Amino acid sequence: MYLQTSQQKTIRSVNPLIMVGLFVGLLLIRTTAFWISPSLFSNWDLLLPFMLYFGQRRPLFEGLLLWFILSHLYSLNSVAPMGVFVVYYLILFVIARLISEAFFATEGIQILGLISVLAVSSRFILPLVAKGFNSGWPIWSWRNLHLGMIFTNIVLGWICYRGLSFVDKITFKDARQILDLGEGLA
Amino acid sequence: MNVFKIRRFIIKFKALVTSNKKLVVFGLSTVTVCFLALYIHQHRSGRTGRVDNALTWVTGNLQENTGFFTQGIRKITNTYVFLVNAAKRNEILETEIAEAKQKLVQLQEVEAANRRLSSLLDFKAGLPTKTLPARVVAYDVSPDFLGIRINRGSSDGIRLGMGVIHPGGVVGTIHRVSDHFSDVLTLADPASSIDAVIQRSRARGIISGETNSLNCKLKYMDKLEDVTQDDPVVSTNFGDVFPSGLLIGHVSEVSSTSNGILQDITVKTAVDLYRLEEVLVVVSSNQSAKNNP
Repeated sequence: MYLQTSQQKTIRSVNPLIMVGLFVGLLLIRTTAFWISPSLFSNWDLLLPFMLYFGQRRPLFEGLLLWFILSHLYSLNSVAPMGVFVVYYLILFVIARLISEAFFATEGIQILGLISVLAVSSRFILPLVAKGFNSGWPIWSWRNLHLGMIFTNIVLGWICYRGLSFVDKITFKDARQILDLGEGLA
Repeated sequence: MNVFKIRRFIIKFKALVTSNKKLVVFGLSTVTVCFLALYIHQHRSGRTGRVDNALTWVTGNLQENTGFFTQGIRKITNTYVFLVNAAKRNEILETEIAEAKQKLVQLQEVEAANRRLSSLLDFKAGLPTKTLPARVVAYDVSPDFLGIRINRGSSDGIRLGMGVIHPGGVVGTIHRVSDHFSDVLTLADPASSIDAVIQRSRARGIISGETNSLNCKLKYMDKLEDVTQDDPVVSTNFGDVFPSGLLIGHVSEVSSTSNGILQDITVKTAVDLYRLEEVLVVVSSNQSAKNNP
């Protein structure tokens, strides 16, 4: 389907709203449809792929804005002390952003590798952040390497990452690197 | 004219950003750190502000209604879909059976709810404390924290730190309150700490959760105290949070810690925290109930 540039621009401008809406939808499923599979749902870190995606593909300002909105909503739906998830997801966002300076994941296997690395390291970052809020558990504990949780987050994270990139595609949203390159050429 | 000025400002700002990238990153980091400090300080009390109240109200209501919707889907997937597959041989008979089954399931659901609510009512009547029934509308979004959201808030008289119980036993304490919803920190959460005793030997300790587990630890239990497997662990009236003698769980494992002065005790919770539908909030303790009948 061919759309004029102005129409594409209008659709592109609602992309962040679609991202927030998508997150709220997944949050509702995650918190209310627990009966589907308690073992799967109790292992799923919903915001992880969003932060990786925003870190990799969003300009800094937009990424930071989305980070704050989504992590605050996430915090309001958890009993963790307010601030734990805001700091935790900021760290993940910054890591993804720094990785993107050297390595921009576009292929399926690259995305899978990136998510795997972040899914494992996040298991140590969260208790570290939670400790700062007097609400943690041992950082170097075998319980942190919960294989079911890591596996679930890699698989669901990969699906979610591809879903987000599909949303970008249908809303004519260009990835940050493409923009940067465009600016460089200009 | 104004539009022209704004555009000129944006162009100048963009030029400034591209020429001083390091300065921008430094400035952004400073603003983010200050903002985070302010954010954490603002949310320390556990009481939500106006914006958070509104957000919690929106998500809470969505969760409450999504709960009804997903339960409906659950009923359909559990009964109707399977019946469609099973009754390909006779379409008319299948429809009749499906309808009958659906009605039966609905009746069973009503009966189960009735049984649950009357046991809750019996349990409530037998308690020496004043309690408020509440419905569980959502579970914690994070896999590492074990909380639940109930459909009662400060407008119903809910306050921070109040105990939450169930006919099966202790559930947790109120952790965050907004106008119409509250978040409960369950006893299996790592941040939870509830005073408890071994019913048989009256040995006292603190119940606290573990990460990625529905089991709890009974902490600070001296090695000399008499604790054996399957011992019931019950609540105390310490702090007037729970009525005393309410079941928390049973001891599932006892071992000595390496430093040798304490015991490492694992407790299996009496309540299945993933299957809660209704709970009771202890709004007035034994003592205050006596003072303010």
